[in-house]
Amino acid sequence: MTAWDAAMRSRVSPRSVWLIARREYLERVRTRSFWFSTLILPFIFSSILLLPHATDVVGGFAPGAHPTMRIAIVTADRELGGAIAAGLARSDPRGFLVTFDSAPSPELRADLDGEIRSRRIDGYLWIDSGQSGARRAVFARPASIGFGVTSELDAAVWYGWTERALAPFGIQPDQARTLLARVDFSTADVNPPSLRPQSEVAILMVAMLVFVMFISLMSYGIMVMRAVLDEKSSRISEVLLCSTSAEELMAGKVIGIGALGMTQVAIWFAAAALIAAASPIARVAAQAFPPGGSVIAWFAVYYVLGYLLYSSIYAAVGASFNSPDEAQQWTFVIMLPLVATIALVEPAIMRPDAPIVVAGSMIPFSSPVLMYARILMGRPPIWQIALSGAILLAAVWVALAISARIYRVGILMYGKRPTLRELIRWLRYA
Amino acid sequence: MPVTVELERARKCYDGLVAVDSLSLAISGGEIFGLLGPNGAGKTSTIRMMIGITRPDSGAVRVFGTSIARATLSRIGYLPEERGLYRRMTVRENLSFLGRLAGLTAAQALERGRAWTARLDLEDWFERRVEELSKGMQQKIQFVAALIHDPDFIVLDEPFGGLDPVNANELKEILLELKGQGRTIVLSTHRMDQAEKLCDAICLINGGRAIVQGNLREIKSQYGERFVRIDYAGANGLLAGHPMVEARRDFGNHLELKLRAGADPQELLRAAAAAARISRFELMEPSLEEIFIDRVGRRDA
Repeated sequence: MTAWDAAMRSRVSPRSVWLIARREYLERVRTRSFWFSTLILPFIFSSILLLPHATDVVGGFAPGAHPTMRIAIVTADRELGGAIAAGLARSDPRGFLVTFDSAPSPELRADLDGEIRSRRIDGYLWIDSGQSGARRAVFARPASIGFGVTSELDAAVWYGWTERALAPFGIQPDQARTLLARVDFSTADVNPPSLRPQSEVAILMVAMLVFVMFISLMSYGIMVMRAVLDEKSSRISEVLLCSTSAEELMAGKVIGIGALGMTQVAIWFAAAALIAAASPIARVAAQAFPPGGSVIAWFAVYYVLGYLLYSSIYAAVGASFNSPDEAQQWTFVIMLPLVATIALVEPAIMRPDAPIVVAGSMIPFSSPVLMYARILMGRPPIWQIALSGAILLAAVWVALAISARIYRVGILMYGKRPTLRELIRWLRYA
Repeated sequence: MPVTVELERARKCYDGLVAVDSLSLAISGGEIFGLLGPNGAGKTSTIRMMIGITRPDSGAVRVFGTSIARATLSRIGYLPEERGLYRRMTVRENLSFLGRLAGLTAAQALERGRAWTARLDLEDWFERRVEELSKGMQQKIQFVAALIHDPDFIVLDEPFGGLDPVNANELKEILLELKGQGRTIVLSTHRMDQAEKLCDAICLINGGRAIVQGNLREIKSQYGERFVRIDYAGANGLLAGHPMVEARRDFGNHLELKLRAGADPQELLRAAAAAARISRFELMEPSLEEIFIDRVGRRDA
């Protein structure tokens, strides 16, 4: 370590870091694109949740939550048709308005298609077993009819047919229903996690929080890379280095853009609170999964650490190359572990203690997402949280140290794109 | 005048390529110093060491008598060769940011930024975004950014590139004014004709090494007696192969000669007059370019 190093390095001026961070933040927070990307998400959610027909849209996915459907049942077997209609009426008394047509024929089918198009009926059930006697039914419908309706029809047709098939054995319809009654099957944990949110709505909330974490880590890391590339290609870094050190420059950049990301997430949280206050559905969600202080605090912790890890690596990549095109390959390589994490998000929510999830929540590249998901879904053992946190902190420290070295050499290097071996050599320039 | 900047056998390599090779030079306070050489000669690498952006691999760099420390940085102003401003920010915001980073308060930065832009007839552009300005205007703003914190040592990398003659002249006047205030200015350029008009001392570098350096007048006088221009009529191939002539460029009725060391111009005049009608015979100071070509050879120029 020379006198030069000592003089330049020992004193990182907080004022310079603050000035650089402030400029980074202000330049970006004023742009239309920032506000667009920030507001689009709450806008989409609130329009879905606050529209008068929100129940229709959401309910389209669940049985028994659709407006009355006008259905025509076409079958040569009148009794089968009656059994199906009875089954539909039992499962959803006001859900269906059924009419019958006998004797399937191509002309009838063309007529019914026309009635769907002119909206006189919402669909028809076409049962034409032909000579083979195979159980075959087609539900013809406009594409807009959802999964809920289809599954109710499917069940009713199966019940109806089975009742009819059992009749020759002397089994009455009510007896058949008893025989065919579904088993109420569920799982119970011997060691129930204390905080696990039980309802599907709560799981949806956790998934959204994890998604926000994922999106923010990815997009703001890349934003740091672009900012560094911009300054490098416009040669501003040379002007700045005349009055600050490379470390201050990098720190200011990372902090300024990180603050921008935090602003965005804070707006999202605030918007979520507003939507929850205004929408009955969202209120239900909020009750199922109270977004307490610890949810936000853990988010902040993992966001800050995850962001520091990714953004410092991206800063080094930005400094090493001359254009986004050149950096593309590395952008992808660095993004890969984060993208791979997506595959583990579902297991992390459904089975937070599965070995692969536990392993993933220890790896620093995926732990901000996976450990956060696990914490939301219950309470992982303290030692696991501590170990994962320690590994993440160590990784952040190493990434910052290495990146700062590559950064200080890289931002002054122009011309050809460096090879991996050259990048490693830069580490020794210091 | 005390020495402002001193390089002592400074050497800098990048990825095994020697950019600056054992370069020693001293720049006195209050002078305009020309750092000259073709593209890729090592000018920018030398400048970067002078202003503390990089440090030499070996050798020493001293600015204001000490090795570069943080406190030194606020006394250095730097205009890079390529323009470095934030395009989406206004002139005011750029100057305020760069000024504050160089140690000014917000109020000082604003006041000086305003004063300088007014002086350069750019006050109407103060609140405009940099991307709206012409290239020449951007360069003037860049120049203001280099001077806003009132540095004692100013480094300008190709300052005249991209300026029209009127603006170039304005810049020259400001440089002379700054010199008059006792500031030290380093001009890096590959345009030797410009350096010739402004510089007190120069260092010609090529391949990272100093070729010629020192006081400009002294350098020229060393070469002065060796260049001759003759206007003549008649006699094709005048003085071709004459023992005193080292190099010769013949334009038909105009001849430029470089004499061998120790040659006597009077004797040459007599030889020329004997062979042709001479309408002009002039002993010339060589231009810096000629000196450079003489020392390096046409191949590198």
